[in-house]
Amino acid sequence: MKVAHLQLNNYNQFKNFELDLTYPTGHAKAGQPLDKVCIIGQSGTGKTSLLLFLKNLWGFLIEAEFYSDNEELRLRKYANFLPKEFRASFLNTKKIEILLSQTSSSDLIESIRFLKKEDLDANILYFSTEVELQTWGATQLTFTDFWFRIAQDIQKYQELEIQKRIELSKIIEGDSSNELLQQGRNDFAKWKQNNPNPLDDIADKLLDTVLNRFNLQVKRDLSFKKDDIGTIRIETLQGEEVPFNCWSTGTKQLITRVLPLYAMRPENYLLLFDEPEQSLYPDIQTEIIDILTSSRLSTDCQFFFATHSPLIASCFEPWEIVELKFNPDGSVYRELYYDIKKGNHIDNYTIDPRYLRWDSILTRLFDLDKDSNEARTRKLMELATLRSKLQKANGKLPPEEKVQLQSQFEKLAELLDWEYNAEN
Amino acid sequence: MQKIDKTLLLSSEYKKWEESMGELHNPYNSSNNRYYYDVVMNLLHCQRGVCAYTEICLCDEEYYQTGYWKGGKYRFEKPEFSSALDHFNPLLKKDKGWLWENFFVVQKDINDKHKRNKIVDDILKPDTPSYNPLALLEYDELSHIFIANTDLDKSSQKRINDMIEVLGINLSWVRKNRKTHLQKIIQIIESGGEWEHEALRNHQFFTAFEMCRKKLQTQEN
Repeated sequence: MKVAHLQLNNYNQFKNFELDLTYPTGHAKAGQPLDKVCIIGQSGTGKTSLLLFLKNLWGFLIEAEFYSDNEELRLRKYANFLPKEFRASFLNTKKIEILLSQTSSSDLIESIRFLKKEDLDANILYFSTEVELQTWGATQLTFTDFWFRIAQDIQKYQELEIQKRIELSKIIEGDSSNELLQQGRNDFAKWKQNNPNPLDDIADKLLDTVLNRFNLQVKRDLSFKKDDIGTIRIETLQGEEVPFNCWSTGTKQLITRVLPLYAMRPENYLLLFDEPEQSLYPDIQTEIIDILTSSRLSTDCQFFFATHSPLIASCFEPWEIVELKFNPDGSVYRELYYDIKKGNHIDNYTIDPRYLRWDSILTRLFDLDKDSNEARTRKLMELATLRSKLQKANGKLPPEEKVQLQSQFEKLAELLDWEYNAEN
Repeated sequence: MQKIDKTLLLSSEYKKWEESMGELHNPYNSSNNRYYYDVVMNLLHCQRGVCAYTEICLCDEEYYQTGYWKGGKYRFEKPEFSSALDHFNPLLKKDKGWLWENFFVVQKDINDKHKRNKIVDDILKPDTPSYNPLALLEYDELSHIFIANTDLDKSSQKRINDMIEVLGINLSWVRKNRKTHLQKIIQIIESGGEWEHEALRNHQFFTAFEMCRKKLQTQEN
C-alpha cells in the first residue's frame, strides 16, 4: 500500500499541511503514488516527525487488519499515537484507493469499520538513526534478529557444503578408480554451480563493491571452525578479520540497512529511512539510494528518506523531493519547485536535483547563501588583483617581475582550484 | 557601488525634525517612527531603487516618483521590499541615530547578517563628494568581483578591499545574482541585440555593467 496524499491539521509544526505524493501530469506514472520520496529541510522542520507519523499510521493499519470488534480498546491504543486531525489516502496493491480520516467529527476507528480488512495490506520497515535497531511492522527488532534469517540460509548451505566435501574426501581416501574420482569431483563442481553460496551473492552483488572502498570485504573462506558457521564475517582486503565490535560506523550503517532488506525481500512495503547518509563518505552517499531501492532487495515498495545530504537529494526527481520550510509563525510548508499558477506538470518544474552540480544543490535546494567560505572570496579578490596587474603590465614591467607575478597568479589559482577561461 | 547624490530632500518634514533634535538625537527605533518610510523612500529615490552597496534591485521605480511626496512627506502606499535602513557608521547610531548623511537603504541580509556593526572607512562612502567608483574600483568580469583599482597605492588598495568586504559587495550570493544579470545583457550585446530593454527591465548592478561595457568597447576598438 502506497501513500498518495496526506493532510495534517494540527500535528507538531504541521498546521493545515498538505502533501501530494503522486507523480505530476506529463509523467509516465501521472497520478500514481510516488515510488520514492526524499524529505529535506532545516532541523526542526519535522522530517523525522513525518516518518514517525507514517510509522505510527502503518502500526495502526497493521493492527486494524487483524482486530475484531471486541478488541477496539487495543486498536484505540494505536490510534492514540496518531494526530487528532489528519486525512490520508493510499493506493493498495489491488489499485483500490483507501481514504482514512480522523477529525473532530469523524473517528478513525469508525472509518476503518467500512473498509475491507483484506484491502489493508499494510507492511512497514522503519530504519531509524540508531543503526542497529529497526522497526519491522509494529515490532522493534535488532540487526541480529534480521541476520538470523540470512544466517540460517548460510548455515544450511555451509552444512551441505561440508557434507559434500566429506563425501568427496571419502572417494579420494578410498581406493577409487580415476574414473570414480573424476566423477566425484564433477558432481561436487556441479552442485556448487547449482547451489551458489549465499555469502557470494551478498558479497558480489551487494556489499563488496562498497566495502572494498573501506578496505574491507565479506569473508568467504571456510576454515570449518565452529564460529565460521552461521555468521557474516568481515575482513580487510589483506585478509585480517575485523570483529563486529570493531566495525566502523559506516560499515555498520551499510550492513545493518542492506542485510535486513536482503533477509526479508519486502514486497509492497512502506520503507522508511532516517538519515541514510549517516557516517558514509560522499562517494557512497551518491550510491546508497540506488543500493537501498534496488530491485534485488525489494519489490514494489514505497520508500521515504529523510536527509540533510545534498548528495542523497541529487538521486531524486524534483517531484519526489519534499522540502520543508518554516513559515514566520513557526509552522512549516512544502516548498514547491513549480509555479502553482502554471500547475503541477513536469514541464513547469524549475529545479531538478539530478541535473545540478553539488554546489548548486546546496544553494538552490538547501538554501545555503554561500558557495564557499568567505575566505575564498578574499583570495579571489587577490587573484583578480594579480590578473589586473598582469594585464596592465604589458610592456611596462621588467620581464623578471612579470614572471614573478605570473608565478604568484598560478600558485594562487591552483590553491583556489581556479578554472582558466571559465567563470568560476 | 554607484555614487549616490543625497542632496534632493523630498522628505523635508523628516529633515526639519532631524535638525530640531540638535546634537543628541532621540533613540533610533525604526519600527516605531513616523518618519521611517519618509527616509527609506527618499533614499530609494536617491539610490535609483537599488541597495546602496550591492546594487541589488530593492524597489520598483513606480514607488519613488517625486510626485508621491506632498508637504514634505511620502504619501503613497508602502511598497513591499526586503530592505533595511543602514547606519553607515555604526558608532553614530547611539547619539545621531537619525542623521541623514549616515543613512543608506540596503538589502536586508546585508544589514542584518553581514555588515552589522563593522567598523567602516569613508573611502567607500558612496555619497561623499570625492567618491568616484570608476577611479577607485575595478570589476573582474571572469569572477564577477570588485577589487580596488590596481593603479592606486598599496595602502589605498587595502583600505578599499577591506571596505568591499565590510559592505558585502562580493558576497557569493550577491556575486551570483550580479553574474546572472550581467551575463544575460553581455550575451545580448555580443550577439548584436538590443540590450537596453533587458537592462531597463531589471534595473540593477549599474556600476558593474558600466565597467563591463567599457571593457567590451575597448576590446572592439
